[in-house]
Amino acid sequence: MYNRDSRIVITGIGLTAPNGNDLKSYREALLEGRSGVVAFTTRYLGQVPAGVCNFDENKYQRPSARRKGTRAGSIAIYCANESVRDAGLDWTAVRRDRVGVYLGITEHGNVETENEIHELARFGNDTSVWSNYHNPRSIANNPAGEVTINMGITGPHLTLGAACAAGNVGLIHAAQMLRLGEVDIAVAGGVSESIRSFGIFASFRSQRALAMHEDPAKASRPFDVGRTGIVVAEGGGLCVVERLGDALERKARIYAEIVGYAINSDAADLVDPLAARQAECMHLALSRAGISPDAIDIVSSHATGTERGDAAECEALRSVFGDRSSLSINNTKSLIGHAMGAAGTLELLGNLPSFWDHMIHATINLDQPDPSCALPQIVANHSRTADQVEYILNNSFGMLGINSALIVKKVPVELGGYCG
Amino acid sequence: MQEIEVRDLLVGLLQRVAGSDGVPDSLDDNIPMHEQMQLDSMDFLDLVIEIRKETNVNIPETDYKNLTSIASLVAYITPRVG
Repeated sequence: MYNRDSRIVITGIGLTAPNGNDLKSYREALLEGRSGVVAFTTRYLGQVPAGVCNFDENKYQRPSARRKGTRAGSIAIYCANESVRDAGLDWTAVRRDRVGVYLGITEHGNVETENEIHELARFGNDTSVWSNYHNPRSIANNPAGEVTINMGITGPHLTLGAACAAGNVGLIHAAQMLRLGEVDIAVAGGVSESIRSFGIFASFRSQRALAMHEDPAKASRPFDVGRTGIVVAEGGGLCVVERLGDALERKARIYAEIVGYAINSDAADLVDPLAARQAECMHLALSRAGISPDAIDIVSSHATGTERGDAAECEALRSVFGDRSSLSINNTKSLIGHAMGAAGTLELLGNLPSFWDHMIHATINLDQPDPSCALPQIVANHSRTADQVEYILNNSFGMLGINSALIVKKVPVELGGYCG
Repeated sequence: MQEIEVRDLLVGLLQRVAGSDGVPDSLDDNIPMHEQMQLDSMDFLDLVIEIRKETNVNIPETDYKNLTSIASLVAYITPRVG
């Protein structure tokens, strides 16, 4: 069944980031340049800089349910409930079999497996201490499934493994399912519990790609010559996504319209990015949106603070956008770290308010730009104002060479567009 | 450990398994636990694992059917925990 109403909009937002547990506080922190990166103690490695969230786990979930589930599930439940509440949906009247849950994740199961192996070692490898909840906690659909159980959603639920492109991919999949008429409402975005896994940190360190700094708030430094790697963060960003016609019918407040997107693959290397494919991905998203690069006002960059990754994206951005001065490029990871599966969504959501407050948050910790990243459009260290913001392009790339670009457009107030 | 200590330990483990909100204040030791709180078979297995970790008492599956109440668990664990 193909629904002709193919225009897709975001009408609700729920998030938890290392520097905010709702859009308002998160946006304020981003505009003020307030980092959410702190010193965090992780198993075996000691203190590392990390983005840590402090939302109330029991706001929507009973402690007994939380024990059976996962941190990713807990983050997802918080964000999903917040997004539905924010969307103004009459949840009791919503057909739950027509709701889909699509959550992007970078990885899942590492946290639970590491914890069980830790316990196993503590008890002399006696497997009788291995949790009977390990399987439901560690299966790949866990975070999305926990949302359906918590909210009584009987439509489809999926977690979409897409490395660090996953936050965009969750929203893209939602748009696709809505256009296909598979669901009427999607709760979509990305989540990450990755800081709870020492292995994530240890592997980045083995790659010589783990950021370290005596001041945690200064550890995440994309584009800066003094960067030392990635700051891992946890978090979640979930949106209520629906067809424009449905949103108009219920007079919903609309944050943005998803007008273009693309996903492609480098087909080249496990970890090294490829600027040419990233540029192709952005061009494809622009083509699907029916706009030229000149229409984009803000690029929310993916850059993670690694030498090759930052340089590749800057090369791609240079090739797509040139040196047009009316463009602004920023980087949210400098403020919250790399929220892995949630990164794409959180970085998009942190920039959405630019449609109505005409402010562009900065890339902090950019003291001395790496010459290979010295794009003139990068908003460095201090937020700035913009005359107008009509289109935002959000980049999210990941290991195994997965690239994604998502383009959102401001919705006019007369159609329900949010105005702050 | 004395019986009272084992009981206190068990109630603590129950709260861990069923959540701080899941264990009633007035537990009757002689009534099956699942009749007094939401405690399904997975929760019971979770409790068995926690008992193993805290007391080193490994409860074989054949004994589960006789261990439905706090009193029966206390009577079972106390002589084995030493």
